[in-house]
Amino acid sequence: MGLRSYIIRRLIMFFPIFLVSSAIVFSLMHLAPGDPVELMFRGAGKPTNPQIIEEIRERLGLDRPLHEQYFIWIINFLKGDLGYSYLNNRPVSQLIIERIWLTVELVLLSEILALAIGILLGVTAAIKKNTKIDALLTTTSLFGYCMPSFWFGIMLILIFAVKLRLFPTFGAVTPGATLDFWGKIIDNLRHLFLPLMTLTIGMAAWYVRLVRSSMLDVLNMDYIKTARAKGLKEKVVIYKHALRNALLPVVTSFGLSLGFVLGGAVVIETIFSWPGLGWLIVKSALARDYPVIMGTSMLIVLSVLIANLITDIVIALIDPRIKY
Amino acid sequence: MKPVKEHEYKERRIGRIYAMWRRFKRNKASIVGAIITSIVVLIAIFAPLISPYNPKTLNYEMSYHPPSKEFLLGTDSLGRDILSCIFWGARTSLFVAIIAVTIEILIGILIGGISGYYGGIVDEILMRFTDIILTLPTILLLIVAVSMFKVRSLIVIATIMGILGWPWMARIVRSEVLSIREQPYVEAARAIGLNDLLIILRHILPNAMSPIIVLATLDAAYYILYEATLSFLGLGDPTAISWGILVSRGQGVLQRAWWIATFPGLALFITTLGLNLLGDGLRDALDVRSRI
Repeated sequence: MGLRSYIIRRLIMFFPIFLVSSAIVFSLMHLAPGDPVELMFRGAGKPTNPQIIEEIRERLGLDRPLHEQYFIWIINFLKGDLGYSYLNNRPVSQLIIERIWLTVELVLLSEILALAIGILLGVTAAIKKNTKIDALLTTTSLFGYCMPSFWFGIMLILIFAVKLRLFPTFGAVTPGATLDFWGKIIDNLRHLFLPLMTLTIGMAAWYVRLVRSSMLDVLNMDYIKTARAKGLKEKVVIYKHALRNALLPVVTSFGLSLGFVLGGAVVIETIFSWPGLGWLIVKSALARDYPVIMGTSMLIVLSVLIANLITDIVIALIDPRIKY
Repeated sequence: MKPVKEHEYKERRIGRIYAMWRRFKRNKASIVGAIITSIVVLIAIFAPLISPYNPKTLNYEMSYHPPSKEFLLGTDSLGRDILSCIFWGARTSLFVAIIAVTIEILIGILIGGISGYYGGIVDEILMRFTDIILTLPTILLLIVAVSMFKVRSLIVIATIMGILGWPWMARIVRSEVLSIREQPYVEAARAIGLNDLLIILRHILPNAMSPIIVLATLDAAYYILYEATLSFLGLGDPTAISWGILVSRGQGVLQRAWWIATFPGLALFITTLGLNLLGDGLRDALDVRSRI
């Protein structure tokens, strides 16, 4: 089977994968026992008239069987209709559009930074294998990898905001400040710094481990010995011959790592009150705002699926060894 | 070849365990991991005996007491002793990890076993499904799943974690089953007419134990981290004493009482570090291929 038919098959496979993933998200939402209408009106505001409750159920389509509800929901999702928030009756799509760029900014910068750190330190550790530098880098990356991100974020707040008073810890911009264009960007970057560091450490540590071990594998291969035997400079051997192949696992795991970073962003946005999608999900989860949780989490899942699709295609294009 | 006598067989077995132990202790990091993990387990078991105070006793006169001789790690806003809270929190973490890992192993063995043993279309479908769950961000799915529960008990949270956490286990069990399935002794078992379930349980799984143990150790760290994260976000069991809840209580009062958020989080960090070191050490000692 050729490259083209592989890519076409992978594209076609996207649809069943999307359906199964959305069905998983939908059924997770319905794991909990109890009536969603019951949840909508917890406490005081609950209408006592059973007829009104019945009407609400009907209006929201909650009286239909689950699989019908699922298909209605997923068709509406694909049309861009994500329903209305239970809390303030605003369209979920509007809530998402207001916040999505802040999450994109945080996640993309974090992924780039983590990659840069991971490749740089991973290669260094591999070249200096079994030296003190390698031991230091390996230990540090293990620490970073095991670090509970929410705690690390709070420790950064404690050091850089509470003690040193260097960075703000709340939101994405200074409220009420009148700034010019560059002032706004700098203000935003200052707000970004601590959440970005928190989000990056785990991923960077993971990349260091990945790059180190893949680099060590590659450096043991015959063609590297050949390159050295030819008398090529060590720099050329490492950066031109070895690194290119050592980065393949990094490309392969891009989709997976994006999912990891997006998951991390959900937690970290909440710590720093960064008003992106993650904070929206946690706030909605605490308030049981069903349509918002569903719409936002499905959007994140969809972006992870697309990232995986792109990863698979890119790998097929750049690695001629893969046979299909 | 002479038939192996019972006592000789035992000796060989002991020899094998001894060899594993030698490989394990060669690496200092794994010893550190084993010690940390044992200490956490002992603290969890003996929490009521070793805690200096009752972690739920409120003592308003002693609120925001900094670390001192009396309260080694200080007290929180309501005068609760942080050290005692950390000791009892170890129980919560361990409880959740044990339940989630058990569920993960059961589902993983079931799906991975069926997939590897039967192969073909069943394998194809199950592994596709496994891969899909693998790509989705676990913490997001956890938040989605627990959000609609009115009562979030530790058991509910741990069960959901196990239900979402089995894909790697299934893949590892599958690949072990695949490599063992064609061995002569399994063929022999099939030839004498043992049924499939018995073959999987009695003849294949015991030989797949090593990677299962390694993965379970590493995943236990994840579950402990996830439970703490959910609790931190306010989506955990509000009645449990969890390290995550303790950290979130400290977040608002960092200026006034830095110790409330710092020490419980440190306990969490050390625990996950210990389990990871132990898992890495076990992987080398049990000679599991490094694909986990």
